[in-house]
Order: sequence, then C-alpha cells, then structure tokens
Amino acid sequence: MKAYITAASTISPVSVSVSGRIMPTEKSFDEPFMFDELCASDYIDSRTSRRMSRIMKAGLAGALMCLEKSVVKMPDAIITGTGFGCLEDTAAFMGKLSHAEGLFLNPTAFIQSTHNTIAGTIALHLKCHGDNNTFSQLGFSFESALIDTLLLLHEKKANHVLLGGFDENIGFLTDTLHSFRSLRKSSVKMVALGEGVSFFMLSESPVGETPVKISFRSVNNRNMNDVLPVVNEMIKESGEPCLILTGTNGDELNDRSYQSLYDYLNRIQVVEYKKYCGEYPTAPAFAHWLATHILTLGGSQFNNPERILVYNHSRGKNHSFTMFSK
Amino acid sequence: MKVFVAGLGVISSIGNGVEENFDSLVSGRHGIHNLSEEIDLHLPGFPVGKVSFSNAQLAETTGCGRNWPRAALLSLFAAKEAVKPISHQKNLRIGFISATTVGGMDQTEEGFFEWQQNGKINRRKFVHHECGRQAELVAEFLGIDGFVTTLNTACSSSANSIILASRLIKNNIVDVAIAGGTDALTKFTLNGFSTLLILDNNLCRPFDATRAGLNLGEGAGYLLLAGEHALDVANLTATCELRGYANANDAFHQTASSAEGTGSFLAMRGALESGNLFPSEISYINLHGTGTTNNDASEATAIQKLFEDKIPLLSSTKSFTGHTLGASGGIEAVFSVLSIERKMVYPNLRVSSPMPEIAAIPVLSARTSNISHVLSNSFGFGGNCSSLLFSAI
Repeated sequence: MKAYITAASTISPVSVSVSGRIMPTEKSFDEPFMFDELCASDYIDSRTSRRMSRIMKAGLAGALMCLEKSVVKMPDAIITGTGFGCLEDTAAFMGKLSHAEGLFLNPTAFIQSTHNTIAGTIALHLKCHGDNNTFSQLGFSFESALIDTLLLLHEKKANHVLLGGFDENIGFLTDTLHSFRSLRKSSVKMVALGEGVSFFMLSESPVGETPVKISFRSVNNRNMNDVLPVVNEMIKESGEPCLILTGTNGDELNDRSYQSLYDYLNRIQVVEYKKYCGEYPTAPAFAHWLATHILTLGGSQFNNPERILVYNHSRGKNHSFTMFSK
Repeated sequence: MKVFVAGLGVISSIGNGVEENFDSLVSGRHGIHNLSEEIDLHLPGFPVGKVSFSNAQLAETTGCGRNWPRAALLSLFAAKEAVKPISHQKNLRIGFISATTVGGMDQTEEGFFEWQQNGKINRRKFVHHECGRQAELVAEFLGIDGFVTTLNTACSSSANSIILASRLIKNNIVDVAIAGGTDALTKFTLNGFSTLLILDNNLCRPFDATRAGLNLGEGAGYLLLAGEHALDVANLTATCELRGYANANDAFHQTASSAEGTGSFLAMRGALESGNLFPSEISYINLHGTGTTNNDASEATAIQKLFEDKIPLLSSTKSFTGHTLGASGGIEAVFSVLSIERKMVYPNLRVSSPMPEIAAIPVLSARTSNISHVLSNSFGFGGNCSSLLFSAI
C-alpha cells in the first residue's frame, strides 16, 4: 500500500538544531527518555490545557503542529494508535478510587483516561466529522493505525488523513507494564524507556513542498522465512534503501530479527533509532518521523540518503516495513 | 466484493451463547439483576448486567484454564463460538479484529490497590493490562497468527472492529475475520460512570421520556465475516450480508452528544449511502439507546431527521443487557444478524411514555416481522459514532 507523507511533527525527547541536525538527549543511560510538552502552550490556551494531562497536551499540540506545516488544514479522517493510552489520568482516577470510599470523585480524570481521548479532542478542536479511529495493539498500535489510514486513501474514502502515534511514561505503572515486554530479560544493555508523540498528514497525492513517498508491508506471523521475501519485493518495487532505521533495544532475542535483516542487506547504513527516543509501544511512529525528517531537512547528518527503510517488529510478530523515498 | 456473516458468538447477562441470548430476547427476559456492590462495596445500589459465569467457570468452559482478565475470558468464549464454522480450515488467511475500552482493568485495579496499601507490586496483576493484550491472548489460544488488532473508540469500539474487518476482506488482506469486542465490569468503569451522574438507580428505560440513565453491563460479541471466495473455499453458509457501514465524529463535546445528533445522523446516513439504500428500506434499527437523557434525545433527533415519516421499527436491547461498553457494538451486531436470520424484532423493555423528539414508539413486545435491512447504532465518548447495515440475502 502506498501514499505520501506531506507533513510530519514530533514532540519527543530528541532535539533538532536549526540546520536540521538530530541531537541526542543529555541523560544517563538508564534514565527514561522524556519529552518536553512546554511547546504545547504555543498551540493550546492555558484555560483549556490546565486540566489536560501531559499526553493530552502533547497529543493535541503535536496534531496542531503537523497541521501548521501542512497545506491541508482539515483532514478527512483522524486515525491514532497508542499502546498504553492515557496512563496519567488512568492512574489518577484509580488513585482517587482507592481513597474515596464513596466520596464524590472528579470525572475529568476518568473522561480523559480513555484511549480515544486525543483523537476525539483533535476532532473537537477542528470540528472534523470524518472517520475517527484509535488502535491499541501493543507494539503494533501505530502500524494498525497506519494500515487503516492507507486503506482509507486507497479506497478513496479520504484524500488526506491525520495519523498519530503516541505513548507516555509515568514512572511506576509504565515500568511495571514494560517489565513484561522483553522476550528475555537482559536489563543491563537494554535501551531506557521512553515516550513521544508523532503526527503525520498522509495524502493520496504529493501535495505541499516536500512530499515523501511511502510504501508499507507487514508480515504478522513469527516466521523470518516469510519476512525476507517481503523485503525483497519492496526493494524490487522501490529500489534498495540507502539507510535502514531499526527498532533494536538491546534485548538479545528482540534484536535477532534485526540482525537477520542486516545480514540480508549487508553494507547498508543503519540507525538504531531507539537510542534517540527510548522504548515504548509506538516508538515506530518516531522512526517514521525520523525517516521523513532525514529525507526532507536532515539528510546531511546521514549522508543524504535517497531511500530509507524502517523496520519494526513487536515481540517476534508483526514484522512491519515502510520504504520512504524522495 | 460482498462481505457476509457466516458465524456468531456472544455472551452477556442474558445468556451464554447465541441460543440463550436469543431466547431471552424473544421472551422479554432481561439480565440486569445484580447490584453494583458485587463489583464495588463502596458504590452500592446501581443495577448491573453481569454475565452469570465466574472467571473460573469461563476458564473451564473455554478450555483455557488460565488466570486471564475477565475481558479476555469473555472474549474467548464468544470468539470460540463465532469461529466454529472454520475451526478446521487450514488454507484461509484469518484475522482477529477485537475491541475493548478497559482491557484487563479488573486485574490492574486489584494490583494498583494492593500496591497503594502495602507498597508491593504484584506483577501478575499487571501483565495483561493493555487493551491489545486481550486479543493477543485469544488469538494465540485459537491458533490465529494472521492479522490481529484491537480498536478502542469507547462505546463504538466493536462496531469499528466490524467495519475494519470488512475492509480488510474487501482489500484482500484477509479471507475471513472474527470481529467484535469485549468488556468486563470493573470498579474503574462503574465509578467512572457514576461520577458522570449517568447511572440509573433503577432498571434503565431507554427511549422513555422519563428515562434516568444507563445500567452498565458486560460481555463479548463477535461475527465471523467472510468474502464471497472464502464462502466457497471453506464451504460456509452465509446468513446475511454486511452491506454498509459508516464511522463519523460528532465533534461537539468529549462525552455529551450534540442536541441535533450530528454524529449519529452522519453515521446512519453514511451507512445507508455505502449500502445504496433509501431510509424507507430499513426494517429495524437496533438503537444505541443507553437510557441517558442526552444520548437518547440526540439519537432520536437524528433518526427523526433522517427517516422523517418513514421511521422503522426501533428497540434498544440495552434494556436487556445493560450498556456493555466496548462489547456493545459486537453484541448488538449479533442481535441484529439474528433479527434478520430469524425474522424477529425484539422489544424495548420498560417504555411507558413516548419521547417528544421522535414520532414513533419503540417496539413493545417481541414479534415476527419480515426483516430485510437492519441498522445497528453504536455511539461513544470522544464523539465516535458508527452504524452498521445488515441485509437479508
């Protein structure tokens, strides 16, 4: 399935210099990668944002940042993916529950705890009545949203879709949820946990100043013998990638599939992108932003590639490939 | 390509399995008997629609025998029933498209409260927390290694799963799909809805002028959807067609629906347009009909505007099951398909005063009727509105 990314934004732990250079966050190895949502005040008035959690502020601001860069100001659909949903509000409401014992509880945290809160808030802000979906399928959440988006464009139900992927890190609950995520525990070398918000305008035609063409394939089962032929087909269609972005995270079992790809496409430049954003279910959304950024503004740092392949899998399943080209 | 329904699976407070549910619907026997103190001691007095099986019974009857969250157990029960027609098929690309609003929250909240009380994290309470984990557990148990995903758009979640499944079939990504959703009663949701002041202390009265709120329920419902080719290959019997659908956003408020029912109107009209039908051709609408002042007024207004003087038969089966949140789209899709299959319209229980917003009274007692086309509505927080259109073949 194919489309064009015609605008992209990210609120993530990474910072970008004026010349487009990606600069890793200064932090110790096991500290989590946290984003700074202060930029949200440029997009959301203080009265509205006062009761919003960090992820809600960043989610709405990220969407508005993307729309600011886009020539399309009203999408035909809004599709999002999130692995953990709105954890801060979930924990806030549960916290009040355990102490309240019949006392009146504030509904705000409950209302804002639902996974589709951000997609709903964006629709409300834009008065967008189009298709609106939120996916939550662990490490395949963003890709599920991407697939729905590509289908909408292919079916001509939409010309432009606002697509987002986001997750937050709130400490204890996130740490606990993540502790089951590695296929085998090897905590010493694993990349720290992260969080981030990334939004894209996906269009069926190359509008705007710097459209980036993408094609996407995924293999749902665990069998690597089914995976490499798909990569081969993508290369036949689009050409060999000059750079690959992969979701390695330091866990040996997780990283094995990526090693198979490195062996298959030998001598290609690799960026293991989680060193910029940390580990979280929708980290692949950040990878999609990074690939778009490299092809539009930040190429010189990475030898000006013409084509980039992004590869992620989720605990040995859902091997997903996106080929980006100028 | 046309997409057909070739299997059904459901579990709710009115029955375990399709036959028990259908029997309750035609007999007028609702399942809202339990009270909220069974879920939360500190929140007494609200009627709820609880599934009769305990977690242990669900684990045993499904054969999984494991300490899964209740939503996953309910999901497995219903998905197992739906998947029966293809359980021995080897050559089909099978998708599992599920939905839930709070996933494994029943275990998470226990673990959270324990941690708050004694500072210890019992990891086993958190391992199945995420929405997507329920579908992952069920798909692995059923041996489905194709496309698996989970939607969460509040109360319209499983209607959107069914829409996505249909599109995956039409676009040749899967051959068949089990699509629907699940949700279990939890302290989290019970207290959440209570703080919104939309729970009724008595049995809910959807589409009654003096209605006072909703009753929460739980359960799971799935359709087995198949494209024309798969019907032949797997020798399946189609009972009706998923002829149309639409997903729209009300874009009015986080939780309330607009008075005009914009989202509902767009969803119903969109479903009719996608199925190429006029409003007058609809035989029956299975309403979202939660029993809240706001939803029912909004939905009634939208129906009146769309159907004008040709309002079809109407009923809300939430008067039987309660509002099953993420499962409601799936459970009510099963009821809608059965309505066509068995030519039966279900009553809307406990209506005595008609609503002023609509020039029609809901069906008051179960009756046979020649049902050609059914609309099933599901509207949720976040303005998410979806409608499914099923047709006799």
